[in-house]
Amino acid sequence: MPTSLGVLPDQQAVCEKPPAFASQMDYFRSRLGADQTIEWLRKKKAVGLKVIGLPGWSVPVEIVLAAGGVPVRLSGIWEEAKHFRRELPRDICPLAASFFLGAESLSREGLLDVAVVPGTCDWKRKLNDLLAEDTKVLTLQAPPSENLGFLSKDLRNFAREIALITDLPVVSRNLKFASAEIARVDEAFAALHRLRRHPTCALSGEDALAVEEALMRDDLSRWTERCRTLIRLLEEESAMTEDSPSDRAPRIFLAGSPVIWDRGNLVHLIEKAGGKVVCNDFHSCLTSLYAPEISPARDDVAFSTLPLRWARSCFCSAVGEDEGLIFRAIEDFRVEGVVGHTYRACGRLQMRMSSFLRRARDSGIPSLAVETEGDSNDTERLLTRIEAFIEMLFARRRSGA
Amino acid sequence: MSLVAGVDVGSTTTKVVLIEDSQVLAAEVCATGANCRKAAHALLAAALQSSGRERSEVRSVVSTGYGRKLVDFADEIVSEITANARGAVWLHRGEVPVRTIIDVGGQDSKVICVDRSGLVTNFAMNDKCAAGTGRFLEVLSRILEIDLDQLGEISLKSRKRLEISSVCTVFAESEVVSLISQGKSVEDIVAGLHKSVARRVGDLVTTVGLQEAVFFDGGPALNCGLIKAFEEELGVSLIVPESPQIVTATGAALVASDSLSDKASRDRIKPPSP
Repeated sequence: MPTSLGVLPDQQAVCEKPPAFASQMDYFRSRLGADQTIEWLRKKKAVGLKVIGLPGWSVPVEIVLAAGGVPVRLSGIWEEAKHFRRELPRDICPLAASFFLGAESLSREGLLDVAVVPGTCDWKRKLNDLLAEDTKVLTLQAPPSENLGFLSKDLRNFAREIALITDLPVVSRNLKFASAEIARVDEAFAALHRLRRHPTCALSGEDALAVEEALMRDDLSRWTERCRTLIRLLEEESAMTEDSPSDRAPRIFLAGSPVIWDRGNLVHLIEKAGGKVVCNDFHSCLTSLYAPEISPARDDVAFSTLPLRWARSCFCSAVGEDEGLIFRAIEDFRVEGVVGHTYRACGRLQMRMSSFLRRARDSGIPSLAVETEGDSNDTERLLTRIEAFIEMLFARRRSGA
Repeated sequence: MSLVAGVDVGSTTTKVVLIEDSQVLAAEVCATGANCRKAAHALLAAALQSSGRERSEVRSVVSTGYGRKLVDFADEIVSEITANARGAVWLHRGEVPVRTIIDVGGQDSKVICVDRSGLVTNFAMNDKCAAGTGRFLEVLSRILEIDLDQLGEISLKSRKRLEISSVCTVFAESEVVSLISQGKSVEDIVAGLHKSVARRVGDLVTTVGLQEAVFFDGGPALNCGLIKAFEEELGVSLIVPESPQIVTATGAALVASDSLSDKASRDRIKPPSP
């Protein structure tokens, strides 16, 4: 077999060796199938718990926990949900569709008590209307401002609505316990991402994505425990590995539309082409890394402190919202190239992305714009661009640019 | 002396170039057809025959193009962007170095920026639609019942160029059918088609930024009408090589040569075995 110039022979040899942390990764990857999520939720329903479907981590999960609800991530089970598919437009935002189809499939299994859906764009708002025909829906608007008083009121309303479903009011004591649990998750999440700054960290971008996607597809405490074990194993592995700067894969920051695990996984393509995704701006990765102070783990936790976390959350992409954090990460993670991903259906992000990538280039970071439809139909064409980009980064490194 | 080969398996044609000591020994082009592997094998054999060399003399083969991964005799593969840039910079040794390369292929159009040393700094490619590619002209020439290689001369006779969609090949096809039924002149329609491709590629140029000198290659660069349309659209003169189809294969062969040199230098600095 010919070798790609993007992957040096030495790296291929390293990739073939099974890493010591692989057994921990088996747990996270096993949580990504719809069957496992359904089985887990059946057990929760069997003991009378209420299931609250969420778009991701960027929502006030502590309120759901404090009200005794089980938070479950709805996006990313597209393939399994295909047979429930209604007449959706062809050019729909894959992220919104993934969330919608996940909610619909769980609802039909009788495993969803309410879907908390973001109303951050027209796609999501219209899909919410459609979803509301068969499923109870709570629309959560994006934080309108950093006015904490306003946000606090918003969250109280949200807590009241959730309490109506779970029959358990959100009281201060429960909120404190829930917030402590969220803080433990955030801490593990941030520690895992911090580890990726090290050049010898063996965790691939695809592994990291699997860990992120597994969150809220099992009990949070179990996820946290597994994540801590993974971090320990990675630290041990990293300490034993010798860094070889010239041979290692170019370090990539993936910005823009969040990648959906089972829908044309862009992280997989970048790493197949010989790069390594070391950081991204979706799933609140940057928020957990750079704003630990917003985790309300303090004793005085109450509705007055929760808005801090909520105000910094983002449903889709930090591009355009908080580019300062991205540029900080680019420096911290010694990023060599930025891939800016947008879904074809999201014109709003495309406009922001082009100016962001221009700024990245102006600051000396090579960048590549990638537009996808969130499926695997265009893989080969996409791979050509990514391979060329990785070759460009290798050539740049060799030339000392 | 190192004989190396570059194989560019494109969607329409396959190209093989043999290089030795910075000299192109042979260059062959054939239609890719349905079996990329077969085309690559046959073409390498033809190139060796025309240069009077043996397969065993070829020290390294690098494949590129959309079928690059199917060339089972290649030692390395490289993307067509890297190969094309390497080939263009090497082929043009003018006073003003190449900084922007436009490569229009059968199903892809690429615009590549290189720095003064020939290093790729940025690039853009067309998206899924064939608008702005060689396939666009191929499809439309069939509707007009004109040979592809005559399009250039015909368009130069145009007196009033027509406007044709640059967004979608299928839309353009129905527009051309409609223009034919309106009795519009073939020359004006063909000039409109060239303008349509130029607009589409011009958008890619805008994305990466235009810097002179601008090099134009790929099979469609044989079309003088298209060169004129590009020059008007971009407002610059284009450098077009003598054989624009073989630039990417030439680049692939040069990458093969570079790899051999790199390997030789690595071997030289290896410490002696104990």
